[in-house]
Amino acid sequence: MRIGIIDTKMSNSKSVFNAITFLGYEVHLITVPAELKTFDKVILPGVGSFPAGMKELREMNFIEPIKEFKGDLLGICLGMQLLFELGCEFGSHEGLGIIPGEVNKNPSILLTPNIGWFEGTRSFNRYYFVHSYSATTGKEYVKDTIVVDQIELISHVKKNNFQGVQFHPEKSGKVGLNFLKKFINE
Amino acid sequence: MWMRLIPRLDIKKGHVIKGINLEGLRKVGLGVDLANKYYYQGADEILLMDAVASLYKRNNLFSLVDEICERCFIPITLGGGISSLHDVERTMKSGCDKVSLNTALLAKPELIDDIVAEFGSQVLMISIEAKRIDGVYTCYYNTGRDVSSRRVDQWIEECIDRGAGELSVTSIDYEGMKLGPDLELTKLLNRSSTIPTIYHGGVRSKEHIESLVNIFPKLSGVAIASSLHYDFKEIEDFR
Repeated sequence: MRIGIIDTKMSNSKSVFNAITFLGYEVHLITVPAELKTFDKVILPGVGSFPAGMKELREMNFIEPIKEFKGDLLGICLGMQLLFELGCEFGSHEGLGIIPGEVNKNPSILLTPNIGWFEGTRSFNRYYFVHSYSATTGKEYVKDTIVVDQIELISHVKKNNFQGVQFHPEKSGKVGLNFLKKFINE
Repeated sequence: MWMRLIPRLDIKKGHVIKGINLEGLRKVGLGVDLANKYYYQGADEILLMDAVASLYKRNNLFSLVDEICERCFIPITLGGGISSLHDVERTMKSGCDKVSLNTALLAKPELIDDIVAEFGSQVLMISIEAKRIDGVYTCYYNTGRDVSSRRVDQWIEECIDRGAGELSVTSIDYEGMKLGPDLELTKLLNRSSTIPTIYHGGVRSKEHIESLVNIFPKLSGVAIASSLHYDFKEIEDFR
């Protein structure tokens, strides 16, 4: 099995790399889009803004190879947000469009950014979050949510071989490492 | 709300040092060992501060950070001597999640705008060292040694206006002392801060954290140093 991390300038690939290495797997950084299809498990990390993230993927010619990817892909944080059709950060921007839905600013009642550890309403696992935007999508794609100040936010989505998490499994201690392990082994 | 418990490690030559009123002297252990220990105890984040950065005018902890990030899978923040976009980029590349800045921002507040525009508000933990002078909380810098002309409440307002994502506020008078937390400063934070805020200084028990939350219900985290390093307390004792 080949595990890879899409390595854009915008990504926190080092943290994800460290976490998967710690779990005892060999992991590669992917910078050449044509190599993507040689991997079985791919992680799309990302920090920064939605338009900057899309621009980076476009300039590196990753957009079509990601859409056509047949293995399992996990988007983390911004990497999850980019899977949707639309991102409303600094204007309206087209995303990868793999999962129906859009990404909007967190409700203004919440402290922004929303930082901290929140427990999944379905998984009951506590993960580390830091985000100012969150996704809305059809309930058939929602795997887990969190509740912040009585507002429900989507934390894990999945459609076919693509899934995404708003939290940082690579920064969520043992529980986060277990999540990554499960993604690799499922 | 889950309180973030954040061990703070002040580092000199690889060792954690700790003193009183931010003046660190005594060695308490190797940074990498203590980071590991607190990670396994269930710390929510780790804050690493270069205690001699102002002396050398740069941060000297990058290789230590590399080592810690390979073993501790929680958010790591690096502070001390960070003063440019280049420093921030280097910190992020080493696997850190956030940078903590104080001195450089007081000298050049526009740096807040620049860091937020380049890396996003989530990477910047603005550190404020507060000490009361004639009843007015005032911002200090260079690890509590020098006094600035800024009032803490006004500085918080400016930081938020400039797009800051997180504040970490130390009470110099209560830090390392056995007086409990600085509740007057906490009142000021409750009035002034509308972004995630971490309190540091004098927290030695779960009851101290409760007293902070009573005054400041939206308090997002607590940084703890002496009590973990010296009192044989563990993270779990603060939950």
